[in-house]
Amino acid sequence: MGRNHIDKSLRHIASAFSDALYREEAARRPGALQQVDPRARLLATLVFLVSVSLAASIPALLAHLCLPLLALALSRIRPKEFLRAGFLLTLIFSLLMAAPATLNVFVEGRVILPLLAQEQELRYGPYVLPQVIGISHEGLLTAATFVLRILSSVAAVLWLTLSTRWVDLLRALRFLRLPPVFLLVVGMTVRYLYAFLRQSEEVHLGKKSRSICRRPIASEQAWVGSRIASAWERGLHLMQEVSDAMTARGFRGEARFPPGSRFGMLEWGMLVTLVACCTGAQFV
Amino acid sequence: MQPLLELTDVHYAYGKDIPALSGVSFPVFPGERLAILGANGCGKTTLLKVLGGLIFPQRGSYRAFGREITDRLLSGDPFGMFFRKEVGIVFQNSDAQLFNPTVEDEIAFGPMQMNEPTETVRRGVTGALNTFGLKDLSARAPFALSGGEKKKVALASVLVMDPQVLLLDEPTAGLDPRSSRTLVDLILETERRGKTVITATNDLHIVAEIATRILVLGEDRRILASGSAEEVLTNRPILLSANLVHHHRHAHGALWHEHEHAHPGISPALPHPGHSGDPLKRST
Repeated sequence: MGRNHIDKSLRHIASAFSDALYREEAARRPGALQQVDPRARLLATLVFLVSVSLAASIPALLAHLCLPLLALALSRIRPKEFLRAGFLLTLIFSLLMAAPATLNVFVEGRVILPLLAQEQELRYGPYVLPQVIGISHEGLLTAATFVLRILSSVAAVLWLTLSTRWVDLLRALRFLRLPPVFLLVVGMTVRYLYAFLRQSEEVHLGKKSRSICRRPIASEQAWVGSRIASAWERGLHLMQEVSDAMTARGFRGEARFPPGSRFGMLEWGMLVTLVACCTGAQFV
Repeated sequence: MQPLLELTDVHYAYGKDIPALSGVSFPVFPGERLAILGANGCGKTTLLKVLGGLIFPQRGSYRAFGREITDRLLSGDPFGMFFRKEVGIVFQNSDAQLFNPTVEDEIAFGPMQMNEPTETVRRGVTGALNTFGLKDLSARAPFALSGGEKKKVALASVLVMDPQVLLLDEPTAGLDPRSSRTLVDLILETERRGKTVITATNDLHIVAEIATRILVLGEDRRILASGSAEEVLTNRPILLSANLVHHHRHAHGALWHEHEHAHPGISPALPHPGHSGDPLKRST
């Protein structure tokens, strides 16, 4: 159990990272939106998230939800890829989280679907348990608002991450004027974390190939502990090497990057269209 | 002629009891092609780090461009930035040297830290991409490239700054023969442009091509021999003493024999036991 758990965890984490780093297939498809500069895509996503957070009515939120779905279609991202990238999980968890809010126990309102009837209303200190417990109209609206807002936001972010390579996304973040050192560190963290995961996986496989009998769990755990220490030591060594490489090329603690090219018609066209659609969606 | 770089009785140790250099002295003249030969762990990388101003002698002195190199001197401008621009170092571990999201960013990193104008950086990057045949890889993540491609990117990211001195640490380590050949050709091209090239290696196949003078570092971390490529590479006792050549056994059909490992084209061919010597062992 313990050994299988280590084996599976390492394999799954490494494979998830590998998928995230190397999944460029969708981002390289000749979809209409893949031609747009990643900075414009990032900006469009941010504008959309602001617009979603401002939308208060169900029709407005439904209209907003259509936009990332349209973007996914224009980017030639398959529904299966989109669902597997996290949308399905988001849907399930947001529904689970929103479900209690539909009850008139949590949100007062007109009951449209009674579930439980009591003899009389019960009071527990400041809490009131109504006589008829059921799904309320107001509760349903609150839950629907919550779910639609989450789904729209997640769909937009998933569209961005699926249609953009992570290296392009990282470069696009510079556009937001975040401190260059911060972006450099984020990029390096992702990249070296992956390198360490691969290394851990290789060390584990190396040990597995030379193991001929099952050892006690405590011994396996001690081995994992010692490898974590070893990985830490290697990490420090690699950090020194990277730091030397940066110093050798003139880095003095303040990274500078070349500015990106200017937006063309395609980028401006997409942003203007998005702003018009978001404005329209607010008034649906 | 005044030396460009000069080490005098340089000592360096990691911690208290792990010596890396034990009294190393030698000058390097402008335009010289120098190879530092030595077995693993004899201090070649440490020596290059001292020459690259990444670590500093604990005893003895290092002078470059007429100034004694200290941490304090390199931390200040304008000499610090001048030194970083004029002394480029390509590390053995390309993964540590390539930390930017894309190949293009990697090559632009050095000139950007040197505060070069954006247009100059763009021209330099385009030139380097063309020279090294990396144009098609410009948007790729460096860590996802092959070993040979990574070395090319590492070399391009240093040469784009047009340094006077190029320090190469085991440039052909881990490369297949074709990548190794391509890299040697690129180094030769650099040398033809009048650069001072110092290569630390234990690959005897490339030494005669890339160096006119050779320093042999012994396992006691001192200079064991110094001379022209021909003088050093034909001095077998020195090469054996520095652990750079070895005896090996092999078989021709049923005939087993043992002799010194030779490097055709570099060192004189040794009498082959199959032709003129006695076989050491016959198979049964």
